[in-house]
Amino acid sequence: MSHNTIVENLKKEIENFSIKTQVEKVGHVMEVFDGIVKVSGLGEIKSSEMVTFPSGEVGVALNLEDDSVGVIILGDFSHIKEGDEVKATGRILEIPVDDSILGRVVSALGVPIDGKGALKTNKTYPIEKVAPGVITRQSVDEPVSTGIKVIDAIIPVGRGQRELIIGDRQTGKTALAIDAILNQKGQNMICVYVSIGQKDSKLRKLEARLEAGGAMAYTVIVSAGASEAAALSYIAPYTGVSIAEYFMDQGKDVLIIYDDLSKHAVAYREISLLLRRPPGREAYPGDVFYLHSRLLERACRRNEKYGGGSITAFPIIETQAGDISAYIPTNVISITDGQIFLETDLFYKGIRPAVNVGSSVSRVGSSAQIKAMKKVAGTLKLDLAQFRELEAFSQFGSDLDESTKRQLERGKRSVEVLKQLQYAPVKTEHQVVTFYALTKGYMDEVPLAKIKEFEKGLIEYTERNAKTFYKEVTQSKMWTDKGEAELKKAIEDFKSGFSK
Amino acid sequence: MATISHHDIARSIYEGAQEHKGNESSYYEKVVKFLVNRKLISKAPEILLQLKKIVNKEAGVIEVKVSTALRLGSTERYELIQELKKRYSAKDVILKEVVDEGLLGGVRVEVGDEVIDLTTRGKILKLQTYLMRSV
Repeated sequence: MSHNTIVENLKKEIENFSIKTQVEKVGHVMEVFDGIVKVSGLGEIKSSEMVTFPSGEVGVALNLEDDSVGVIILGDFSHIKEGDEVKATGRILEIPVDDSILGRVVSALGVPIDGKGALKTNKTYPIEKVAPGVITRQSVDEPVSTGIKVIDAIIPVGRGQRELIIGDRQTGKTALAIDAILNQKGQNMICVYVSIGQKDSKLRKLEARLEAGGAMAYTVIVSAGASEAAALSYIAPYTGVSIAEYFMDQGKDVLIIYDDLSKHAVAYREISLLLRRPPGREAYPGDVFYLHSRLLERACRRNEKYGGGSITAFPIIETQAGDISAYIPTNVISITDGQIFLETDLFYKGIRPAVNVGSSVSRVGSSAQIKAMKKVAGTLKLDLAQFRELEAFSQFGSDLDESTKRQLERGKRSVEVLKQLQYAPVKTEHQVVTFYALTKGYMDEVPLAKIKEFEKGLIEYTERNAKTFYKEVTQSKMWTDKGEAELKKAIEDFKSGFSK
Repeated sequence: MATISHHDIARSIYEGAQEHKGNESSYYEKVVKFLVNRKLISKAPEILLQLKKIVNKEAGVIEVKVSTALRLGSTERYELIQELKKRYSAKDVILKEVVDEGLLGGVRVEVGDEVIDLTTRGKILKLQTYLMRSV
């Protein structure tokens, strides 16, 4: 660009500029400490209103008191001095949104932090919004295919559902969520991953993993790192859900992951205590339930009349030593439509994903499964339940009758089949074939150590030799007698070849 | 919160003074004793500030801070006071004049937490944010 065009452009811009004289509401900084500012003045400010500081920082008014206003600073507070002028903006905090946000990593304020340049958009969404009302909603009946066998079969998740992932540290909570994102390729789903108070190294690894899996094309990462202010951790999930709502308003299905809400609650506790709000149980403020309920209520499935689209939420909660009866875990369990419970014991026993099938539940249940999956998973659930009962009981006696032995063997094989490697999502139709072979007893004679090998071979073989079955399951979501006969023959053929 | 705000204390002192018209001196003695007993005497400047605000509000007086680049002329001052009286329906206006050459020109009026910025510097700053806005 030559100098003349720059000057011309500037002239044009300056001509377009007009000054509107208006009365501004200002206040002055009385105190600054730990990311909190007490401001005098600001007479007619609203709760959650955005304010600006002379250094360019943005704040949110949270505490409106008699003679002062408590403001949280979203960003660096080291430049703010006593006596600084604080301007009210009259707007609720908002973030920029655009289709081009896909594939980007943004901060809690929606500003890109991945070094790929600014978002070019004029559109903004407020971060706090009332959740869609009851007449705009539709019941959840379409599955989210996570590609994780144990979830898709036993704890199915539907589009618009809120399913909690809960467990101790290092039990694979994030891994489960990442696998779910990786499996959304070609499933017409947009993913938002909200990282709250996580290590930046973990986020970097995660982004690289998603990039390698081709998942960043439909994913947005919202990050409020561990080194950033607690105020940013507090607003990050709301920023994430606002981005999700932007896509839902276009009629799209969105999957949002909050990793994790325990850190979010801790950040909010920090802010509340600094604002001198009275502490309650575990020193959390009284409105910590509302903090999560208003966030998770924004996950929904909207009916066609109101534009369709859905937001499926996977909140993550980290427990301490498996204690799910602590304050935040019980709160979030009661808000969500079910939970996936991960256990350290199972993890070290080699059962990965370490899902405790007994305490995990999905309140939407089988209505979020395709018919074929419903058919095979029903028997699987029963097999596993019986196995758990017998397993404890069979440790005492060695004399077991034939049918008990058979059930035990079946149970062991079921557990083996449900094991799955990380970053290896399994397609729904492959899951159906595997569970079909398992529940119909085709795997009963296969040695336990060879189950994985059998499963892999079986999928490859049936894909070639039971094409009708696959076609039926993918297209009409259920097999016919013809397809089933074909599959049965293929499994038998493969099995006789395998045992040789 | 367990503590009473300065505003509430100032308010009650003001209301008490209205009731004790005539023997103010004994009343104020009581007020000072109360503040000492409650260990609030160190907060006296803040309470006085609030009290001043209340008294001004009740009497219809507004305090206005006027910042200009050059000293105000007497006709300008008169016009400004008339305008402010009309705008805030005040009976009296206390002007606090500040001369700041950095404003370059124009006038900046501060009433309570309201600011009307008509200075050249303010306009330049607005132009700056306009030109640097992200599109």
